[in-house]
This record gives sequence, C-alpha cells and structure tokens, in this order.
Amino acid sequence: MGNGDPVSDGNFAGGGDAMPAPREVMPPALGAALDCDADCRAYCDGLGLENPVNVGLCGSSWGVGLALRPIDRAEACRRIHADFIGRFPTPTEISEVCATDRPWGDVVKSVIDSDEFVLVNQRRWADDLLYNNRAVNFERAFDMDELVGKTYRGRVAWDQFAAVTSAHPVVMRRHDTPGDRAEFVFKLFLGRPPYEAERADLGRLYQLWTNGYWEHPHVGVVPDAFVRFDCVDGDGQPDPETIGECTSIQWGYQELTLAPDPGRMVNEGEQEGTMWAGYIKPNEWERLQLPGRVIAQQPAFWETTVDRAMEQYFGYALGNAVPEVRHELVRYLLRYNGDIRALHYAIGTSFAYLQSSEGASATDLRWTYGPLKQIQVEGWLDTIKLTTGTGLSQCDHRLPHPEDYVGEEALEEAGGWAFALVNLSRWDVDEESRDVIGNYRNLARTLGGCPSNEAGGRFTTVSVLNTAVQEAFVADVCGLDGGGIDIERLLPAGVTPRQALDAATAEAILAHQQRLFLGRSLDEDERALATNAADTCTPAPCDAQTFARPACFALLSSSEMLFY
Amino acid sequence: MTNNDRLPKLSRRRLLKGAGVAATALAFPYVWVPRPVHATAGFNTAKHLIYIRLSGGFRFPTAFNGDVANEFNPFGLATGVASGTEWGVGRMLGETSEWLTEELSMLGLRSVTSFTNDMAVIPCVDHEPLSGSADGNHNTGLERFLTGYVGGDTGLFTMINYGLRDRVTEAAANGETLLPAVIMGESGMGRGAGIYGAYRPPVLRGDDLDLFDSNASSQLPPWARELADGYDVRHRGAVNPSHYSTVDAYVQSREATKAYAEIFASDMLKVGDMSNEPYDGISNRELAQAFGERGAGRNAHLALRLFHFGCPAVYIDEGGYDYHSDEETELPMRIQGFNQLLSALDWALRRMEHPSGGTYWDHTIIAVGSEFSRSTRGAPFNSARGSDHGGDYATRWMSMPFMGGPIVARGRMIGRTNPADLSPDGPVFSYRSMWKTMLDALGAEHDAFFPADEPFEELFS
Repeated sequence: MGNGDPVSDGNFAGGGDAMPAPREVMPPALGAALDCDADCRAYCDGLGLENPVNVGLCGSSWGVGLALRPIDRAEACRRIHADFIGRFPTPTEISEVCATDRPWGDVVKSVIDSDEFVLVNQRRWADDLLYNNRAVNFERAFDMDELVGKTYRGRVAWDQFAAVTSAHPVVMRRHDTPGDRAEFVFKLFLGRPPYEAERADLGRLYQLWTNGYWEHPHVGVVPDAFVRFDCVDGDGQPDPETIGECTSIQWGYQELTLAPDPGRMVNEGEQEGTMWAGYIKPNEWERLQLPGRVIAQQPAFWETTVDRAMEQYFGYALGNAVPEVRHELVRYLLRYNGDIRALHYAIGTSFAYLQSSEGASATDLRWTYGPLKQIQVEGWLDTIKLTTGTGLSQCDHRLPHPEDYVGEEALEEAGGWAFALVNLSRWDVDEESRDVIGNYRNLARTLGGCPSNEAGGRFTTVSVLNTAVQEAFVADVCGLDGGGIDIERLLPAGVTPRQALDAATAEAILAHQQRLFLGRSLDEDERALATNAADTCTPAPCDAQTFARPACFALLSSSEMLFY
Repeated sequence: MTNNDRLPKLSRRRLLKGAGVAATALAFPYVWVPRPVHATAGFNTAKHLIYIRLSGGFRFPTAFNGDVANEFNPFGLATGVASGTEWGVGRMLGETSEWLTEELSMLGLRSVTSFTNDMAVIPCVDHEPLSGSADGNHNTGLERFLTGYVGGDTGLFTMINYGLRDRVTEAAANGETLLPAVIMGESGMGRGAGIYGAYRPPVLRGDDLDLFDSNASSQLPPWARELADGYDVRHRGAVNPSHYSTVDAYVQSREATKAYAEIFASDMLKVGDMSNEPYDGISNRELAQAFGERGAGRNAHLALRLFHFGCPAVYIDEGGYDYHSDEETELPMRIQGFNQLLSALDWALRRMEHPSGGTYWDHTIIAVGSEFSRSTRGAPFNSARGSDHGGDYATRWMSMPFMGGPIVARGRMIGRTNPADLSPDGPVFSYRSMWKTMLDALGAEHDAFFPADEPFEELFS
C-alpha cells in the first residue's frame, strides 16, 4: 500500500491569502455573541479568501470588525519549525527556508515535504498507538511506522490509513478483548468513547482477533496478534448458530469471518487453531479492516481528524469555538482526496495560525491572538543539540527497549541479527561496550519525552524537577562549571575568547547567540541587558569567554526556549 | 476488599482550592481548613513507602502464599522459615546461592526466610474483584497496576504527591523543602493531567540524579543571574496577557529550583561515590555493598537517601518475570536479585537513624506487587517449562507482601486461598483499596481517588 501515485498532486490552494482588514463596524463588546449578518457575509465573500481556515473564521473575525494580530517572519518561522519540523530553526533555515522574499505558502510546502515533518508525525502516532517492543512484536511497529510515513507523504488517503490502522497488529495486540479494541479504535478516530451499544456492536467486528506469542527466528518469543476462525462451520461458511457474534448491525449489516486454512493454522499449544497475523493474505486483511471502513464513513471521522490537527497547532479547540472552520477544513481535506498534508498545509498558512503570541489583543477571543505552546521534549533537546553541537545520542520511537537486543541485559536469544536491528535504527550503540548510548533517552524520559510506552508515557509539563534537570543540562552544555561546548561556537566572527569585554563586545556576543538560539536579533531591552552585564561582569576585567558561557546559559534556559 | 464498615473520621488540613503548579506553592500563602476523611488506624503512621514491581507478571505462590498445590507452586516451600510466619513461604525466597556471600553475611544481611515473620501477606489482591475473570493482558494489567484502571489518567505516585501537597506547602512556608515521591521505573506510574499535572513525580533513571549535582543557579555570578532573569522578564512582558500564567509557571519553577539545589548537590545523594562518610548512621559504601551497584538495588540505595530529604515514596521496577519458557531453571536465579533487595532493605532500614527519631524501619513500608500472577492451567509448568497468564485464579491473585515498622500484622496472612484450586477462602481486596491503604498510611489525602474503594484496616491491627 502507498507505493503508487500520491493521492493528490500536492498543489494545495489557500497559501497566498492576504490578511484582510476588519470590516469597518463597531467590534462586538467583550463577552457579546458574534453575529455575522448579511453585510458581514457579503464582506467575507468579497474578500476572495481561499484558505479554508480563513474562510471559516471570517464571520467571527474580520467580518464582525475584529482584527487578528500580525506576525513577523522570524516568529512565524520559529513556530512552523517547532510544529512541523519538531525543533526550532537554525539561522540558516531562517534565512533560507523562511526567506522574507519567499511566499509563505512555499515555506509551509517545503517543511511539509521534509523528512522531519514525517518523523514528527510518526512520533505522534507512536505515542497514540503505544509502540512497545515488549508488548508487541517490534516488526509491527516498524510496519505501522512506515504506513504513517507513507500517509504523511501523501501516498495513502486518510480513510485508507484509518482502515489499515483499525486492524493493524500493533493495535490489536495492545488490547485484550474485542470491546477494548473497538473502544480504542473508536476513540482514536471518532474522538469520543463509544456508547456501550456501539462498543459491543463494533466489538463483534473484532471477534476474530486474539493475542498470543510467536517464535521470532532472531530474538525468541515475541508477543503478537493472531486471528481465530470463529462464527464459521467446517466449510468456512457462516455458522447460523454463531454468526451473530461476528456481525455488526449498528452501521449496516456487516459480517466478518475468515475461512479456516489448516495449512496456516497453529497446530498445538495455546494458540492451537488460530493463525499468526503474519500469515494473513491481502484479501483477508481487507476483510479485517472493515471496522476502520465503517468508522471512516461517519462524518465525525473527518471532523475528528480536523479537530485533532487544530488542537495540535493552535493549542485550543478552534473547531468547537468556530464550527465553520471545522466545516471548511473537512471540505478542503475531502477536496484533496483525504491527503492529510492538505490539512496541515491549510492550518500552517492560515491567519489563525500566523498570529503573534506577543502584544495585547483587542478581545479575549482565543483566535484573535497567537498560541503559546510548550515545545516537546525532543524538540528542545534537538534544538540544543543542533545549535551547540553537544554530543547527545537520539531516540527511536519504534523500539523503546533496544536494551533487550544489545548490551549486557540483552535477551539470551538476541544475536547478531538483533544487534544489527538496533545498530541500523536511530539508536546509537557504543562500539566498545556494544551498549545503547542512553544519554538522550535518559534525559528525555526524565523530562517527559522518548516514552517507553508501557502504559501511556509522553508528558509536557513545567515542574520544579524538570526545570532543575533542564538548567543542569544547559549549564553542562554551556560549560558553566568548565568543559562544555567549544567557546568558538558562542562567539561571533572576529571576537576572540580572551578579548576584553566591553559593551560593544557583549552586545555582539549576545546578538550572535540570540540569532543562533532564538532566531531573532536584539531589541532595545536586550541591548541594555548586554551593556549592563558588560559593566557589572566579574571578576573584572572580564573577557569575552567569561561573558559568553553565562550568556549561553541565560538564553538556553530562558522561557523563550521552552515556549513558542 | 468489599468493606462496607464505616471507617473512623479524622480531621485533615487542606489547602484551599487554587494552588497552581507545585512550584507556585512555595510563593503563595496558604490557609488550612478542617476536612473529614475516611482513614484507618494506620493513618499517617508511615513516612515512606518503597513500592516494588516484579516486572512482567510474577508467579506469586512460588514466594508468597506458597502452601498451595504443586501446579501453583512447583518449587515447594522453603525450609528454616522464621517462627511466627503464618503464610506459606515459597522456596524461591530461600534462594541465596548467588548473592548471600560471606562478605554480606558478615555485614549482617540474612536470608529472606529468616525475617518472613516481619511480613504480612495478602494472598488475594485483584485489580477487579467483581470481574468475572482476571486481566491477564500485559498492557491492560500494567495499566491497572500503574493507575488503578485501564486507561487511567492519574498514576498512583501522582496521587501521593497530590495527596501530600498540603504537607509540602506547610513545610515550604517554614523554610523546609521536601522532595516529592519519585519514580525509578515505569513512567506510567506518574501520569497526570489537569489539576494533577503539577504533581507528577519525577522519573529518575540510572544516574539522572547526577544532573542535579551542578547547582546551575548558584554557579552564576550575580550579573549573569540578572542577565538570565532579564530574558524571562522580557519574554513575560512581551507575550499576550493571556499567556502570562504560562511564563509565570516557568519563572516560579526556576525560583523553586534554587530551593532544591542544596539537596541535589548533597554528597549524601552521590550514591556511586563509595564514600565512607556515614549519613543517617550508614555510609554509601556500605549501602552499595549491601544493595549492589546496579539496577533495582542501586535505585533502592538512592531511595533511602532521598527519604532523608522528605521524599515520601519511591517506585522501583525489579527483575523481569515473564517466563513463558524456562521458568523452572531461570526463576531460581532471577529471584535472587529480589531476595538481596529485600534483605538489604531489612538490614539497612533497621540500622539507619531517621531524622525524626527512631530508625527508618519504624517509618517505612515496603510493598511488592506485579501486574498479575501466572498460570500453567493444571501442570507445574507449561510445555516450555514456563508459565503463562490468562483469566484464572492463578493469574488473578497478587499475593502481596508488606513489611516495615508501620505494619502491625507482621507474619500474618490476611485472607486465604483453597490450596487445591486457589479459590478464595477469605476476603478479597481490590488493588485500588490496597493503594488507598498505602496513601492512608502515608497520611495522604485520598478521597479524590477511587471513590468505590476504601482503605482497609487489616494491615494495622
């Protein structure tokens, strides 16, 4: 699946809207209901907006006389990178990817076409589906991850993605009963828990799935999904006595059975009479994916998809506050044949997204000022890693427990093949000890990222101990206590480490680091901070490096590095 | 347990609603109001809890409640068991060949069988006593273990920090910083969102604590501190007023971090330095010797040091007991890490002097659980000489041991199973009730959690 043509041509409309001026009417009073009357509608229709978010939002913003906050390119670039690429931009990316003479639609298109955009979304789905190589055969996670990758490259339509996911072994094996599986899939794609009748009914389409263990040729016994041949007679025909257990009627009459094939069935042991999921044929997969196709026929399926994306990027439920936006986005997504990239493009180019989080707004309506979100743990770490060059390993969400296959505590069955598996993944393996290098993982898990997914896992929070860990890490990177990254990285061209510190030098150093870490130039307040630091720096007389390392700490530990 | 008895009501002080993130608690005044809560006779008798999970699903009758049919405990009973032990001590607890060296014996460690009379065992703890069958699924069983429910939003250790928030606030108002409960294992134990989000426990792994050694704030000269603060002030001033609280939370947590700095930099917490300097009457070298220098033992060593700074509880993952094959030969070896851990705790807690008086033993409960037990469906082992997990009694019962000074029912078995088929012959306790009992013993407010499950008295009478 997903090896053919993309589901759309990828030329999405709506990336070039001009920010409308608010209609010249008295804006609604604080707390008053928004009423887009005929004049308001005519005004919005006359704007020629193409972006679906802008179209949907007009009647609750410009049409009723409300202005949205403009954003500058640097802030927009930082936001789009944090959201779509998973980290803050480098100075090169700011000047090239987000060049001011480049249409914003092109910027969004280029980040969506990047491998990092795919990786960010693969990680999100790993969190949602709880990849864990102790709970499910790791090959299932790799397979699902590839499907997610194809989907976010525009090669699998969203409803098709849902169908495959709804019967994927990585999902099936994580749940125990048909009802549990039905509830999980229902909630995942329809955004709410099922009512009991829905759970029971959809559960009948999961009657065939069961959990078991499979002898992997290279790593020993692994948990995996199996199917039973319930509800059929000896000839593989629906058994009138039991077919009701495998029949859903809530969304149309749907039977789901498979004909037994003795050649593929397990002959002994606990899984006797069942079939390992690895032996399922394409036509059988298609049958087993019936729950996802049923779910994708519900209007709520597309609305939930849109709502999740808005929550992800805006940080609040714009679809609930302004349902017209949800409606327009669903239409837009369907217009591009369910190409999920279209949805992300539309949001990334919308004015609801492209608003500054700085400065006061005229109203307290959530969509009249920009979002301020906390960056994911991996994004924070990766940014520091990239901008400072500090030596950190990485994390592979497909294999949260690589230590089962390499190193001192590896499973006895794990041999060279298993080592190669880890070595070729994103994990780094120490050549001498042949252990996984865990510095990134340990730090990320303390802070809430790189989850092992035993039972949920990722969290983003501000807490005392998280802050302590962040500060200690940054202090180490910046070399407050000796060591740290090369001082040359922290100094602008032409400034030497032992150069005497004066106000101009301090300002140059701060400007260099601020561009590197925060992606923007100094303002007046920050120039004053530099001057003050140069004047009060001790032990006097200070040199450039005495100033540069604490400055590095100040910037990397600042709230601006955490929130965007 | 299905326990309908009315429990005694005690007064408890409570912080008025509105406390934001934990960090902000340090900065704001507090007001106490009386509040009635259900509590046991063991309420507030423990200052610390060490909660150990035997990972992967542990076959409990091989160690606890072992006096049952061969199909449930094929290893038989231990010999030389301490007198006064009511519950069947499985042979696995007597395994010492791999760890009880002459050196450790000289130090004072002893076989677990020699102090089983200091443990109470509840043979029938189940996630869902009213359910028709056990939850033998790794994922959902673990979710229940970590949160009380499948898909539970709040981890058990988050509940501790939330339940003790008043105590932390009171201490902070008196200039004392208390460390929170800490996870040294599966992070799901620290789930939390909404009002519980700020009470998520830190997850420490390996030498993570070393990160705290460098007191970043104190390393900064005043001019640099001003620079760092200046950036936060500038950012706070720049954002939309609706976002002030977001930035404020971080700024306040940075302030609170300074209060932790002294603790984190303490030599006492450098558990790997093999120092001979005694803290609470015992050195890190001695503790490292007793506990070992890796894995759960090292975590337990660190736990005891964190307790000195007010940490109420530590969660530790131990072992890996999902023996679908070769349990017959592997378990007697693997269990010895757990035996050493229990023995080292018994040894250390009785010797360490608690800052509030008495020994750590007097103030600490050790409890042991797992996501479920294991089954062989009638034979001593399955065809691969291991065991599995399903929906039967053998999977169902966590036979949980509890030891430490606050446990009154030492040596006793609370409940009973039919040796032939493991059916319950006495009370069955819900896992959630068990946890509320632990919260109660710690003096934590628990009425916000598991409203259908009550704490029980039996461990304290």
